[in-house]
Amino acid sequence: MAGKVILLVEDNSDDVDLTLRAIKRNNIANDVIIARDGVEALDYLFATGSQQGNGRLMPAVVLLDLRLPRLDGLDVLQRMRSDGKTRCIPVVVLTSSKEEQDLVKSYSLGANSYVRKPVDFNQFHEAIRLLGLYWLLLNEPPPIVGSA
Amino acid sequence: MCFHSLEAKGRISTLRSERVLIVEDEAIEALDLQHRLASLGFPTPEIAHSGEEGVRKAEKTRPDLVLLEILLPGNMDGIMAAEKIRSQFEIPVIYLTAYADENTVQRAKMTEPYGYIVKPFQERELNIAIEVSLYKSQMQRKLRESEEIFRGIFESSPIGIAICDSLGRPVSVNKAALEIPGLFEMPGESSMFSDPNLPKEPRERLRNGEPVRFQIAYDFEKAKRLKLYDTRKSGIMWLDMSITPFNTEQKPPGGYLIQFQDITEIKRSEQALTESERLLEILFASIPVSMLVLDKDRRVFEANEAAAQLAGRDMGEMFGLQSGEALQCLHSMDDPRGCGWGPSCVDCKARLAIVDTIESQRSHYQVEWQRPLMREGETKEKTFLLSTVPLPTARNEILVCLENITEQKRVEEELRKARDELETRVQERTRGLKKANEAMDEERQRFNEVLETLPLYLVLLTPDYQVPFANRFFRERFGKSHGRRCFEYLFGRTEPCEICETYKVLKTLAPLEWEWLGPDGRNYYVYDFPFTDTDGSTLILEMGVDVTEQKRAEEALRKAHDELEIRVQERTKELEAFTYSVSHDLRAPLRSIDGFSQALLEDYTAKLDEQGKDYLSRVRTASQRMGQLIDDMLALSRVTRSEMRHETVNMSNVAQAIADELRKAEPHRQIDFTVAQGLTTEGDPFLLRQLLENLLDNAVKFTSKHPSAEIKFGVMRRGGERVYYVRDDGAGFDMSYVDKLFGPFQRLHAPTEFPGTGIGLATVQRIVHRHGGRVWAEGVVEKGATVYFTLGTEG
Repeated sequence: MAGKVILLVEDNSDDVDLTLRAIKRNNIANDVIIARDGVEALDYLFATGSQQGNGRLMPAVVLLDLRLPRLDGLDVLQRMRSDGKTRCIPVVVLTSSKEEQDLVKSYSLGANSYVRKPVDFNQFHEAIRLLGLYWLLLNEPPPIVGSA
Repeated sequence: MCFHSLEAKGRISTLRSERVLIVEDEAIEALDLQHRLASLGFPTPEIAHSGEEGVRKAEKTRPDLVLLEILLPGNMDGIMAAEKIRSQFEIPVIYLTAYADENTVQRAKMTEPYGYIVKPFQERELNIAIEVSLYKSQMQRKLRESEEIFRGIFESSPIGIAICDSLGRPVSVNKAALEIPGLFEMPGESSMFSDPNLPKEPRERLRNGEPVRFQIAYDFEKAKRLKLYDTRKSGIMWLDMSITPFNTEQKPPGGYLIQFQDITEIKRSEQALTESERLLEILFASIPVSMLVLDKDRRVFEANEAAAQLAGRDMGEMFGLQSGEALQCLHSMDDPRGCGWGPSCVDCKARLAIVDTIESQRSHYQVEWQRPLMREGETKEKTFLLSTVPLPTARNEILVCLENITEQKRVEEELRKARDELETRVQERTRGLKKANEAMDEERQRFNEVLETLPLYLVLLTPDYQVPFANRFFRERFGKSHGRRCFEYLFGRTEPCEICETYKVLKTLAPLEWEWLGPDGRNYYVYDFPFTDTDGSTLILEMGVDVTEQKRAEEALRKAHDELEIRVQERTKELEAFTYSVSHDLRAPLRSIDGFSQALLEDYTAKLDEQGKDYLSRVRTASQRMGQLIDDMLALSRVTRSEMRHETVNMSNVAQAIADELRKAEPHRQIDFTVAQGLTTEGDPFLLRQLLENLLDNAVKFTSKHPSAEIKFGVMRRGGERVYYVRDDGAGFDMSYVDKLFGPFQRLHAPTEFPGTGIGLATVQRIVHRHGGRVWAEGVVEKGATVYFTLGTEG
């Protein structure tokens, strides 16, 4: 499991903390990279802007919130799927929204999974556990195309 | 030589008018002759000196007498010249000559001179010769004229005349004698005695020299067979013939004068007359009309069979009968004085007619006469049509005809009565009809007033675009037609409009409604009907309602509606945005509250006493409940906003599936689900599932305090409507709060008692309403609740 990073795209710091807490308490040891908005997420993924030449690892999974400042989650997803380097990276949409249109758009843009953040922390905790188990352990990630 | 001249002197001669021409080559003799003639009182004669000159002058001057010398020089001597003058100009000639040898005298005689004077001659001789010549010439002229007259009469007479010789052969015939028997020429050889048509008896008498006259039916065929002559006539011709022999001292007579006339036509009309007389007699005897000929004393001169019958007498008794008796008028029979003395005879039409006709001999009467009294045995008076006619005879007779018209009168009378009755009935009917007409007129007038006051226009149009009727509304809007056609006075066109809705009706013969923008700029809603006029012709009845205001209001309404629609759409968008943000944004802090409360409980459990832990638990419960509230609220709004689909939904299957899930979710509970099978409907599958979920979920929830539960999904019919219901035997509710049941966030139980946000039934109601149905509930506390719903148009 080591060497696989998780990219968490989330603007709400409470949610970031709660997510990290859930990850930690579920004994998921992977590094979590946090992007506070869509632009930061893309900068990380394409080593642009503040992340220029970061020599980063491509994430094993991206946990993507939809409502983000500057560039929102669906735009991030679209950009990822339109670029060969990020096209195959699993993206799990993790959001408060249960709107049908968000679901439809996410899947049609190539989201691999859609999870609604429950209000009940116990349930949220359980959701993170299952995600980690599935995407980091069970799921075989696509070969890493490049790390330039 | 003028040795006569002395004698002539002193004589007074009477003046003569006859002109004399002298032809004498000796100039002295010619002058002497001229002198002598002048002294005899003749106008001075012309003188010619040769034969040729004599002929020329005779032709030119036409003298009454020529004195001519026989011995003349030149080619033409006196005798030759005389011959010419006599024959060509018929002028008498007296020869003068000194020679009188026998030969010359003989030659001269041949020229039939009027005189012959040998020179020298006495004046007296000359005078006598001239007188004799002129007299002879005059006599001869008269004879000639009389012959001509006679010949003219002979020729032009319409009577055929033939003069025959002693053998009876025609010597001379006139034109009529050829024309009557159709001859082409006079038959020269055939004698009248060889004609077989000449009867025997006259032949004898003619030979004895007696004249005869007779009429014969002359048969041309007989004459033709014997080839007596050529004729174009054939058959029989009646001839009136008279033959007179002349020179009767001889035996047989010297000749015959035959005269004849065609009397065929006369014969024929005589015959016809005889026949018609006979016919008339028969007619008179056999005609069923009583006929009497009365003399001027009104006595019967003649009567026919019918008249005798009328009089009740034999034919023989009729003659001399007084007219009143002949007519069987009892007035005249009872009164010894006869006709005219009865009490009503003054007015007797029959008597007046007869008397007047006899007296005037002019009048024709035709009168109806009712025989005044009845004879014994007669049951009815008889009526006669009596006619009188004066007869064209010398004795002033009149003809009286009587026709019994009693029966005819009776029939006439009956007819008259029938006609009178009919007339009365017709009059009654007419009165009734008149009343009806008046009522109808009144009705019509009322109807007309109604038409005139209608607040819509009404016109009648003919197929040739005339406008025979337009009510006041129409006239006020569009003016009067004044006989112009619709397109002329409404639109100022010369041709009918290319497109005309109105006249479509004539083709389809079906009513039509359409909207019309009139020439006055107003909108009309127009109704056209095919309309049959009273005479059977097809018209169009058009009515138009002015809908301008209505149109404007509609337009305004439509605009308002459109604006509202836009605003609603905008609002909906806003609402959607709001909902979205609520769903996303409100949940995040709740998660934080819940998450960090949990973190506190986990990480700082040692530092918290029991109350602190309880508070944190309450914070968590509240936040979770709020999350549920938000979700439910969003769900409810989605019910309203989401697009409706229409599919066939098997309600039974859906309910069964939900029931199965619910039973799995509550494995420890004793729940008895009953689901009616085979219920399908049209609707939105997602919403209908949500509807049943809510209801069944509620049923499970509100039966949770009971050890066992019976939950039933079924259907019933009420008022022709399909009513679904979900029934449980749980906590039920107080019916006094039934109004609050379907309001959002309205709850009849505390959340601690039964969990829930109060959104379920509100959602149910919205789903039912979106399907056009109704929802209601019944409940009894602790006895259970039933929620009923219908789904709109379902039968």
